[in-house]
Amino acid sequence: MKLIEEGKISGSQFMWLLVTIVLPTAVLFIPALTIKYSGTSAWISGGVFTTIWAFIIVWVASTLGERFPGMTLVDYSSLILGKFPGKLVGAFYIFVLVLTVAIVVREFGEFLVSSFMQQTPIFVFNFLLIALAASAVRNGIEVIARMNHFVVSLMFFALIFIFTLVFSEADFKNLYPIFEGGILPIFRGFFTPMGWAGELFLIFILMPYLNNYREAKYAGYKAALMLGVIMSIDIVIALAVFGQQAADYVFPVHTLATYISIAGFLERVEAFILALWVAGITMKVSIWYYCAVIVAARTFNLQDYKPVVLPLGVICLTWSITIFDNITQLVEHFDIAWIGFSLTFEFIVPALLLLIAVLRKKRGAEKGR
Amino acid sequence: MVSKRVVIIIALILVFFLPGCWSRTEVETLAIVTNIGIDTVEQDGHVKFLLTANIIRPPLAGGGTQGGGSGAGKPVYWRVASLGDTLSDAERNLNLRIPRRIFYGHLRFVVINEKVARKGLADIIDYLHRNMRIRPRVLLLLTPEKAFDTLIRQAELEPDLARMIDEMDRMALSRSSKAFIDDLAHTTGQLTASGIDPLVAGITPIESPPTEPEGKPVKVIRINRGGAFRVDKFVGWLDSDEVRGYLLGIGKAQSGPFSITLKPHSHKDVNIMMTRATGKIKVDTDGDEVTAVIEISAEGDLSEFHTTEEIATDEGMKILGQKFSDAIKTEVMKAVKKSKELKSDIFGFGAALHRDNPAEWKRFEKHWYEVLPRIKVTVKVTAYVRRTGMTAEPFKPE
Amino acid sequence: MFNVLRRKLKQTLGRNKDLKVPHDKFEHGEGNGDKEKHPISNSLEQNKIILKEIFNNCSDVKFREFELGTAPAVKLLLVYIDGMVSTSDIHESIMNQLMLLEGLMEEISPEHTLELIREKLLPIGELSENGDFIKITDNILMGNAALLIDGEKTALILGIKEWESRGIEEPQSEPVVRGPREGFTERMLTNTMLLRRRIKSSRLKLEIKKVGIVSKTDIGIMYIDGIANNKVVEEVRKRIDRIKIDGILESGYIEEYIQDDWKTPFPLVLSTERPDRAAAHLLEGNVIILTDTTPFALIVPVTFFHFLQASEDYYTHWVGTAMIRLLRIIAVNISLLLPSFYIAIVTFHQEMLPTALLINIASAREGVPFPAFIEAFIMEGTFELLREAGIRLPRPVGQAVSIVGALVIGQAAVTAGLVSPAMVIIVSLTAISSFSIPNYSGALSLRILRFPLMVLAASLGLFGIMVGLMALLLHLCSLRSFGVPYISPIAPFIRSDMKDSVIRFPLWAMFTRPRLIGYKEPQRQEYLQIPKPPANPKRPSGGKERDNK
Repeated sequence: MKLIEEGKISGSQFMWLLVTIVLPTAVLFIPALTIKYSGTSAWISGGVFTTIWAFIIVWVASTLGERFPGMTLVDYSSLILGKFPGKLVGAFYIFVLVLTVAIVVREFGEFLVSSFMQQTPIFVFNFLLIALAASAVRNGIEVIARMNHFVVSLMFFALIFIFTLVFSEADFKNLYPIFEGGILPIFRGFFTPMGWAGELFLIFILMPYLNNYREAKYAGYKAALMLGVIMSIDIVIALAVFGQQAADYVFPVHTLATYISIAGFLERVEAFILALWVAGITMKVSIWYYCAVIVAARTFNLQDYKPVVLPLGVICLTWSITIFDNITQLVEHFDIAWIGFSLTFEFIVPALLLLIAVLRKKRGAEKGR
Repeated sequence: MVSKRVVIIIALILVFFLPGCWSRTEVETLAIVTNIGIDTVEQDGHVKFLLTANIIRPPLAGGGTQGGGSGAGKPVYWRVASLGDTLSDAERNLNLRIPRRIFYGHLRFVVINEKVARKGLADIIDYLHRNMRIRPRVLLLLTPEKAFDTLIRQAELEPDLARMIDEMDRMALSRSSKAFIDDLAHTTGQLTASGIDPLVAGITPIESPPTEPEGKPVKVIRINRGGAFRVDKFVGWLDSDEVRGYLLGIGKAQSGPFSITLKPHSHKDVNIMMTRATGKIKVDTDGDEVTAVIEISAEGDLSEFHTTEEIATDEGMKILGQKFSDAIKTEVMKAVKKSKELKSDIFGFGAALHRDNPAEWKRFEKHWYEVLPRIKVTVKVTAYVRRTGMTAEPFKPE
Repeated sequence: MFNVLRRKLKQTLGRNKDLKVPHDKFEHGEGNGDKEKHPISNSLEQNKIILKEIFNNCSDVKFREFELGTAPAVKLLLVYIDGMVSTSDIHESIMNQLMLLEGLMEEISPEHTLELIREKLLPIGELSENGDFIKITDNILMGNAALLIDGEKTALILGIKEWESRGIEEPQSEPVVRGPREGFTERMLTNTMLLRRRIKSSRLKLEIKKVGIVSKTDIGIMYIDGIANNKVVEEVRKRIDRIKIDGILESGYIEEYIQDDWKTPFPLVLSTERPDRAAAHLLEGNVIILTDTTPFALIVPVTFFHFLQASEDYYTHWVGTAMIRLLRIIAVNISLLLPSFYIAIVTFHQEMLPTALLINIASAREGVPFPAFIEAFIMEGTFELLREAGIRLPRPVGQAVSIVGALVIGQAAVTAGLVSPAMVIIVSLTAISSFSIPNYSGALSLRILRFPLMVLAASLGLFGIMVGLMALLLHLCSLRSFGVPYISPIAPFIRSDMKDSVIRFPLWAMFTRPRLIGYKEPQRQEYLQIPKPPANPKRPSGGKERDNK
C-alpha cells in the first residue's frame, strides 16, 4: 500500500484544501448560473441546497475513505472490485480529473481574456497556469497545503473586501419575493452548483495524506458549511446590488468589484481582485492536478509520481485549448452537460464503491499510525 | 543538470514573452475618453449612430525648465465625432481621425439625445455593457439638443464636463435633491426588471449671461429634470420638483430646501431644510383595484423665516412640521400624477407588488401599463422640524 | 602561506628516517582525530631542527633556548609566535620562573624535570602536554607557546595566547535607538563571554570545532541544552563537519555551506552582530554559530519573519513596535512590487488610476522616448549602481556620490526627458522601503527579485506579477531552514507564533517559544503576567499594611 508520496497534512490544512477545491471558480460562475433559473431564490439553491448536497458528498467520500485508512483510491477499488475493475476505476478518475483541470484552466483563461486582456491569446494564460500548477505538484502535497493556507486567506480577504465595500449599494428589496414559482425553479437552479459542491468528493483521493484520517469527515463538513455560507453571501450580494440583472453578467463578482466606489477614491479596484483570483485558481488547479497525478501514478503502478506530472500537464494544456470553441459552450457545459456528468463521478461511483464495499464486507486494515 | 534545465526553461519563457506584449499599451498612446454623446443621423435612408467623444489631450509636461513654477499646462479637452452603422463601428471610425487607441476606462458619463432615447435605449445599453472597459458606474444623461452640441458646453468651475458631472452627482445634486443622476448598472437593472422603469437625469441647455462686460454669452448646462421611461423608451420629462417627489417616494432624497407658506396671505415665507428622509412603497390589491401607500418620514431644520411670529415653541414647531409634511406630500403626489400621466412606472409600484405579492403580480403583469394610471396612491408623511438653526426667534429689526 | 608550511613539514619529516610522512590532511580532514602520529624525539637538538624546518621562513616564530638548573643543566626550548602570545607572560611566568627561581629548588633529577616544571614552576592556568609534532605545530600557530625539554618525549603547551584585537564597539550594521551598545568582535572568546554574561546558565553549551584545513578557524556552536532542538544541534554539527575547505575567513563561508538550498535568493541563515539578539535567539531555541575572526554570528534555524525583526523591537513599547512591524511588511511589499506595479498599471491597467492621476502620468510620459518598462529598468539599474558605489567608496566620498546621484542625475534625467517624474518617485520610494528592512541580506533578496517581476509585469501586467508572486510563494513554501518551514507562522499557520511575526504582542502575551524552533520546552514564562495596578487603588502599594489585618 505504498502512498507514492510521503507528505502529510494536518486536519486544518485539509479543510482549507477542500475549500480551495471548490471556491475560486464557484464564486465566479455560480451567481449568474443560479440566478438565471432561481431568480430571487437563488441563494436557497446556491447556498442552502448546495450545502446539504455537499454534506452528502462529504459523508459518502469520507466514509469510503475511513473504511480503508491509508489506502489510495486505486488500491481499495481493486480490493473492492477486483484488480482489473479497480484499475478501470483509476483510469476513469484520471480521465475525469484531467478533464476537470482542463475545464477549470479554460474557465480561468476565458475569464481573463474577456474581462482583462482581450488581445492576449488564451494559450498564454493557460500555459502559465499549468506551468505554475505543475511546479507546485512536483513539490508535493505539503507544499501545496502550505501555499494554499496563504492563498485562501488572500481570497477571503478579497471576498470580504468586495462584499463589505459594495454593501452600501445593496438593496435587499431585490431579494423578494422568495419562493416565487414554487420549488421547481429552485431545483433547476440547484443543478449547476450541485456539480461544484460535489467537487468535495476529492476527499477520498486526498484522505491518505491526512495525518489522522478520522479528521477528514469533520474537516469536510466544516468546509461544506463554509462554502455554503460564502456562496449564499455571494449570491445574496450579487442579487441585492444588481437584482435579476446579475444573471446577465458573465462574472457578477467581477462586476461587483468594478462597482465599488467609496468616497470617490477607493474605486477601480477590480484588477486587484482579479490578481488575487489568479492565486486562488492556481491553487485549485494545483490540487486537482495533483489528484490526477497521484491517481495516474498509482494506476500505472509507478514508484514515483513525478514522471507523470509533465505528460498530464501537456494533455491538460492541449485539452484546455481545444475543449470549447467559445465561451457560450463553456457556460452551456455547466448549464446542461455538467449535471449528469458530475453526478457520475462525484456521487454515483463513490456511492457504488461504498455500497459494494459494505455488501462484500471489504475493509482496510487498521494501521497503527 | 537541474540548474541547466531551469536556465533553459527560464530562457524559453523569456523568449516566449518578451516579444508578445499583446495587451500592452503605453499610457501616452491612449486617447482617454471622458464622456461620449450618442445621436442618430439619417443618411442614405438608414439611421446611423453619431458618436461624439470628449478626449483629454494631456499637456506636454516639463519641456524644459523655462516653465518655472507653473509647470505643465492645462490638459486640452477635445471633441471629436464619427458616424457608424453601429456604435462599435462609430467608435472604431474615430480612429480614422485619431492616432491613438480609444480608451473607455475613464468614461464618466454618456449623454443620449432625447429623440434617440424615444426610440429605445436597449441597443445603447447593450453596447455600453458589453465593453469591458466601461464601468457600471458610468452616469447616464438625456439631452434635448444634439448630444454633439452638449459636449462642447462649458463646465466653468471645473476643468471639463466629465469632472463637473461627476462632482454634481457626488456632491451638488443631493444638496437640493431636485435632480438625480443614475448610473449604468442601476438603469440597466431597472430596464430589465419588470414593474419598474428608469428615470434618467435630464439636461437643460442654457445660455448664461457673459462673464465679462464685452464677452459673449456662455453656453452651459443645468441638470434640473428627469426623463421617465416606459420599458426602454423615453416618454417624458419630470421637472425638478417632481424629481424630488420621486426621490422622496423611493427613499433616495437626502436633503433639500422646502419653501412653505405659513401665514395665510403671504407666499412662501418659511424655509425648512430637510436633513434626512426615508421612503417606502407598499402595494396591495383588492380585486381589480391596486392600492399603493408611500410612507415617508422626514426631518428638517428651520433655515429661513420671513415673518416675526414667535415660532420657537413646541406648538410652533408642530405647526411647521405639519406644513413641512404637507409640502412633501404635495411634491410626491405631483410626481405620482406625472408617472401616471406618462404611464411610466418610475416608482416601481409593479416591482413592489411583485415583491409583496407575487401571485397577484402575475395577474396584473400583462397589462400593467393600463393598470398603472388607476392605482390609488396614498402618501403618508411623518415630518418633524427638529432644530432652528443658530438663532431661535426670528430676527426683529426695531 | 600555511599551505607552504604544510608542505615544508611534509618534506622535513620525510627527510627524517625515524619519522613517518604524515598523510595529507586534505584527505583526512580534521574530524577523525589524527590517527597518524608524529612523535617528537627526546633529543632537543633534533626536535629543534625539525621545528625550524617546519617554521622555515617564518620570521615571526621565535625559538628561545635556555637552561634550567645548573648541576646538570637541562636544556629548554621555548617556541612561540611573536605577537600572538602575551609577552609579559613569557617574561614573568615562564622565563622568570624557570631561569631565576630554579635556584631555590632542590636538585633536579632528569627523570622528573617535566613533572617539576609542570607541577611547581610554571604559574600558568592553561597547560598541557603533547608529544606530537602536528599538535605542537597547531598549538604554536594558535598562539600557544611550546616548551620542549631535552630528554623528554613530550612538550609542554603553555596557553598564553594574547593578541591585539578590536575592543567591544557598537555594531555598525544593526544600530538601535534603545538597547545595549555592545557588538560582537572578531575574537570568539570575547563573543562567547558576551553571550555568557547574558545567559548565566550551565545549560548554555559551547562546542568548538575547527574548520578550514589550512586556516583552522574556530567555530563555536552555542545552544541552550533542553531548549534547542537536539536534532537541529546534531544537524548543525553534521553540516559543519561536512565542510572541507582550505580556509574560513568569515561566517558567510559557513552560511553558504550549511544552508538548506543553495539556489534560493533568500537567506536561510540569519547573521547578527548583536549579542543581545543572539541571546534572545538562544532563549527561543535557536543555535548560534560563532566564527572566530568575524563579528558576525549565525543563527539557525530561521524563518522569513526573522529578517523583518530588529532587536530593538523587544525593547520599545509594543504598540509602537506592532505598528513598525506592519510598516516593515508594507516596506517589503513596496520594495518588491512597486516598480512592477507601476509598469503594470501604466501599460495595462490604466483604468485603475484615478482620472486626474492618469492625465498627470500621461502628460509626464508624453515626451519620454522609452516604454515604461525600459524607463523603470534604467532608473532601477541606476539606483542599484549608485547604492553600490555609495557603499564601496570611502565614506566621505560615498555620501557625495549618493547625493550627487540621487539629486543631480534624477533631476537631470527628468529635465532631459529621459524619464518621467513619476518614475523618479517610484524609484525613490522603492529605495527608501528597501532601506527600512532591518536585515541587509533580506533586503538584498528582494532587490534581486524585483527585476524578474518587472519583466513579468511588462509582458503580462498584473497577471504576470501574480504569476511571479505565486512562483515566489511556491518557492518560499518549499524552503526550509534546518527543517523549519521558511514562512512558518503563516504557512503552515501557527496561531501562537503570529504573536511575534506580523505584529508584536506585549511580552507577557508571548508565553510560548516559536513552536517549530523551541518546542522542546514550549513555555517560556508564566501565563498571563499582565501588569496590574495595586489591588487597592486608594493606597499605594508600599503603604501600611496594618489596615489589611
